[in-house]
Amino acid sequence: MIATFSQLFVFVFLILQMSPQISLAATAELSVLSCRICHAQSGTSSEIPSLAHKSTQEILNRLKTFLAIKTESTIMHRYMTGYSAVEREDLADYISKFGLVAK
Amino acid sequence: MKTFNRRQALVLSATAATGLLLASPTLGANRPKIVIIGGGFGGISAATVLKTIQPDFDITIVTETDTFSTCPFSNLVVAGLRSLKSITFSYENLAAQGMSIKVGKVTTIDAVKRVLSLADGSNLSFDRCIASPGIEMRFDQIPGYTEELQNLMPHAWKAGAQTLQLRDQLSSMQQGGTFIIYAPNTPYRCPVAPYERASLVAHYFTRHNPTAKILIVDEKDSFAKQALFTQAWELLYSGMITHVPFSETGGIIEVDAKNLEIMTPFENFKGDVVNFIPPQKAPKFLLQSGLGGNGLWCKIDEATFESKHAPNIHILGDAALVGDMPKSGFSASIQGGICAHAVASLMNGEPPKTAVLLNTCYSLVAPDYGISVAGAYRINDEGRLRSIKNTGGASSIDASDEVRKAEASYAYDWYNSLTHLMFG
Repeated sequence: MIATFSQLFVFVFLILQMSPQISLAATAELSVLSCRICHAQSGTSSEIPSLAHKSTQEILNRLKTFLAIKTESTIMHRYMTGYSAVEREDLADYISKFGLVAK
Repeated sequence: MKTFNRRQALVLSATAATGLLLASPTLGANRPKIVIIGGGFGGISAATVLKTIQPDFDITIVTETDTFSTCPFSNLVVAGLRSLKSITFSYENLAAQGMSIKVGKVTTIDAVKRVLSLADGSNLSFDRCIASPGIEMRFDQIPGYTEELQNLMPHAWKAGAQTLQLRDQLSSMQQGGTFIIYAPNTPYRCPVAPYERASLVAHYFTRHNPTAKILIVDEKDSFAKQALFTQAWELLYSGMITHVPFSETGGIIEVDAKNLEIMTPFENFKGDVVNFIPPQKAPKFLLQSGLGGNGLWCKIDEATFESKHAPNIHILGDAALVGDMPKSGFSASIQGGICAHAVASLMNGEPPKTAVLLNTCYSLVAPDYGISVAGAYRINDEGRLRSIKNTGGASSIDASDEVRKAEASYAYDWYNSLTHLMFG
């Protein structure tokens, strides 16, 4: 039984070691690092809109607006087509839960 | 299912044990040791993100100077709109967060022994190294332009003494004189900055030297945001700035630094002040350590930033070839953050994750008139960090005055936000 467990452990480790495959879907905890370059101080002296204390839905609605309306904003509408619908949702969810802190 | 024999299992157990040791924060003597070369946008962003996600890692930052002056906004200093002090930052907050700051110049990196040597004779060993050391000027490319003569035609392409020198030359230039900016061919640091510089100097001249002329002698035929710059120059500084493309000169053949003259096959250009931005390359210590292969810039795995030429060394920012991303402070910062995650994953034996990386290059054409070019990048099926289709692009040519003003505000806010993230 002990041997089986240790074999299983080694096998799991082997899988981890042998397949450092990069998942192609962007993860929110990494993508958010781009957002915070401009938004880190928003809500204080900055004119860049704040992302603090917003619900997932509020953020997501705004992102969807950027996707639909091309002229309203200066930058964000140029970026929104770069994300899949799932990535936009994950990002909105992450920012709503954790703000812009790296983790 | 893959099977393995007893010997393989032993090797694997040993590897597993090493993996656990490296991953464990409780075993102080074995804290993963990360050395970061470069105290600018890439290096400091990598350091701060890595410290946040892996507080147990032992992080040393090697920087050539004990403060950092940013290239972004140094054109405001050249144009007399901001002090050098206001764009200069100290590393005190990073030291207070528990990172070691070593002021020194790296001379070689030994990837096999995982140790780097410094000019003062000291060595630093590492488990992984993150290098974001920026650029070096190529002083051996253009006849007449040498390291010794560079101050006669300051490049001011690393913020610091030459930034002030160029500012002072411009403020004492004779009335009606000619200011020449020589812009090199790509790739070089901050592709749109020569044109922002021309714009902000024109802003200065309209107030202090209204009959002065600005000539941009360009090694290229066109540049990013050209239509936007041209439109703004016509509106704000009509007739003051002339862009001379490569097709009209055939390119530079020689300079006479003492006479402030640039020679081309078709025409010679003589200025009263010359800002000569030379061709550039990755710093010598990277190339001499074999990290540039046969080229002038460092090739990397664009998902992890690990060198194509040596394991455990990650290179980013201006010194590296990073897919379609431009050599900008914003690019280096986001690359630093993503690289920090990749280094943490690799040290912990986990697969690296991926992201959408953004870059915005703001240009101030006047203090309250901003334009931008934006890009979004992700790893494609071939492992290259490519521009995402139908995404990004420049400010609208039809934008209102309010939008130009808003983009200028955002440029200042971007700068404050990013430098705050880096230096506190």
